[in-house]
Amino acid sequence: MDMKATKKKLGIKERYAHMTRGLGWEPTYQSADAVFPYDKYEGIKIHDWDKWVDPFRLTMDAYWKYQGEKDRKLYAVIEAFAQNNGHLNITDARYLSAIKLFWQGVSPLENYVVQGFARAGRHFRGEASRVACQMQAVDELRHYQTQAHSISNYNKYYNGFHSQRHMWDRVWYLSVPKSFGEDALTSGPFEFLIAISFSFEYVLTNLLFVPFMSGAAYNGDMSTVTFGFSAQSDESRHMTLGIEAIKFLLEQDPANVPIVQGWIDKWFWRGSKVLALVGMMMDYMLPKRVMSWKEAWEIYAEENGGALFRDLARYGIRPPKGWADACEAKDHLSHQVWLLFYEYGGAAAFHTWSLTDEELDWLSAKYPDSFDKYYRPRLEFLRDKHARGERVYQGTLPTLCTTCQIPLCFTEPGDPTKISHRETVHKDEKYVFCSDHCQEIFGNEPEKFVQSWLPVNQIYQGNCFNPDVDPTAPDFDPLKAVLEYFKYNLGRDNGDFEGSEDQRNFAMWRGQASKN
Amino acid sequence: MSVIALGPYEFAPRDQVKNFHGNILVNFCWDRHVLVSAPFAVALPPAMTLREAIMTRIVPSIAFHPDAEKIDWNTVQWEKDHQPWQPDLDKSLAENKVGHKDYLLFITPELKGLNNAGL
Amino acid sequence: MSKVFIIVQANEEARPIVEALLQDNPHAVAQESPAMVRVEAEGKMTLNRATVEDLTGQPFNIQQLHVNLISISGHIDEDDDYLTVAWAN
Ligand SMILES: [Fe+2]
Ligand SMILES: [Fe+2]
Ligand SMILES: [Zn+2]
Repeated sequence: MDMKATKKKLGIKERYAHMTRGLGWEPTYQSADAVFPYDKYEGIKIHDWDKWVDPFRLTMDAYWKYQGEKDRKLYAVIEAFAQNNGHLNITDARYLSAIKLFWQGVSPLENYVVQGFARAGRHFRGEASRVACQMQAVDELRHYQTQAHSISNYNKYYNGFHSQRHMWDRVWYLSVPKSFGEDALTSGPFEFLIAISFSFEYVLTNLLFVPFMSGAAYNGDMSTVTFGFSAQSDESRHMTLGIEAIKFLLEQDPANVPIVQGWIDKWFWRGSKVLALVGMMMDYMLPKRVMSWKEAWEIYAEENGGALFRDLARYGIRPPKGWADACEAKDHLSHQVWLLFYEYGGAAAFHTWSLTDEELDWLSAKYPDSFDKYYRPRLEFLRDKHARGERVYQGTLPTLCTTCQIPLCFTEPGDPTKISHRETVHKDEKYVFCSDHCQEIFGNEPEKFVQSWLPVNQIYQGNCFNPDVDPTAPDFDPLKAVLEYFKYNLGRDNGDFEGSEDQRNFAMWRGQASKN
Repeated sequence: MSVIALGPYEFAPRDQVKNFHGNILVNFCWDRHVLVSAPFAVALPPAMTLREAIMTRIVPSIAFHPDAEKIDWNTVQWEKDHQPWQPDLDKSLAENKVGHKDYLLFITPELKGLNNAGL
Repeated sequence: MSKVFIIVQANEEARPIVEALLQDNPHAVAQESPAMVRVEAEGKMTLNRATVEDLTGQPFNIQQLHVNLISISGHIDEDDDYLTVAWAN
């Protein structure tokens, strides 16, 4: 790198001040409130926008320089990966299910975050905050694009990577991240900031990118680890923005504290539910495992999040309401979600499979308090059935939570064989939830969640069939019609890994790569 | 509390019964049998008997569980929306007062699940 | 006291950063995982520009850290010559 840091006229702090202060002006043709109509109605009071400081003091010139450098490094790896058939270096094609789920369910969220920060970057009154949000919008666009470019290599060879934009708006399990993103996007700009920058990026994003991407490296996926860590280098800046944003809001006015606390409660819980998918990826989909979901939760949520909330206590902020329940769930979450997807494996656009004894032993060791008692017997029973040619595929649709939209596969805290179910009657209409916290989120904003587009309910309302389909035809198969509406290549995208086209092709190509 | 918004914020619930083409959505959960990983949501005509709903929609969906064939549906205990409930299986859902999005828990205390562990 | 950490990619550009952190913060420990190194310390940890420059013999801009940074925890204080992460509790 050639940037000279040593003999420069302005220091970082002065340069930051020049590049972020005094850029705005008092409008005269319109009132300031008309120019910035969205930064007051949420009830947040800001007295001095200049108190907003990016601790990294990144200015646009330095930003472009370092981002350009990151991209040059990343694209060199992507090129090399494509030229050298890097896809054959992964441990096993089962691993690709994790990347399919990432591409289907995480990458589109990056796009939502672009939109959210572009809007925040327009609507905050303070210039420094607008600069920070605009940089983040550009970052998130880079994340989506680099993921598209990296993963397109896999799309050339394997199933389930096609039709991402189509599936995102339709597929049942993708409504979990989609509704999370749309909830954030349709909030005011301050709530969006607390939802994404603080609750998701600061408290939870390490769980997504750090151990999972390290796992990608461990499984020989150079492409994913490179885009993952390249994105994460931006993410560490976003996390810093998250913690600065919350300190800024809390220090501006004591009336902001209860509002911010409510958002932390809501968004920590929502985020922890979305990350259930990541827990399953780490514990079940990586053929070689770096650390368990539970260990990752302990390091990045309990230890790091704990430090954070001890720090924020001086402002009167306490840990989120769902904290204890989310921590209790670390022994169960990944197993319950995997077993759900295994049972509904005919309806997912990625593969599921039976675990080997070695893999079961690893989970037994990592989850001494729960796995042998509650999950291993289920996995072994299903594996035996599969071996006898009776692979279980559930065809009856599950009950969904109105808030997080996940099927009710979670159990009561402290009671791992009791399905957790809650319901609320609001204006004569009944609503179903997976937990106290999802129920409470609904109760705080019922008008928002009465609109939930719950895929199961939509299927029964007849809204998930292609237009040319005739549901009254005698041979009408509703499940097949729905999967066609999702644009699945039936028999190739879905079902068990054993016997799949991905399994066959990977074995064949790898054979060709290692001999003549 | 309600949504904080700049203008009026009121929307029709998306899952009102009138959108289900004459059916109601009913949730069924088998208590302490989590090998069946989640409760089922099924759309049923209110005139259907509870027994027919069970036999056509629930029995096939739980058949992979080794306890399923041992269920005596005439002695099953029920809860509806977490309250004890004594339905007449041969009466319709409407006559049994099963409503849209109700939660029907069926309990089989003598069947202990996989490994007798509630699985 | 709470722990702060800095995680960087396991590559040649980031190696002097890890070495500088360990050298200047005797209470810091490094943990290696596939493709990454996590340096953690109780309470507070500082990266000094001069230490990295001594190790490499090249000029170093503190903001170069961004290129290989994976994650960071704690409040950040950055200036031309150093970057400190610390918890106030
Ligand atoms: Fe991102
Ligand atoms: Fe981000
Ligand atoms: Zn929920």
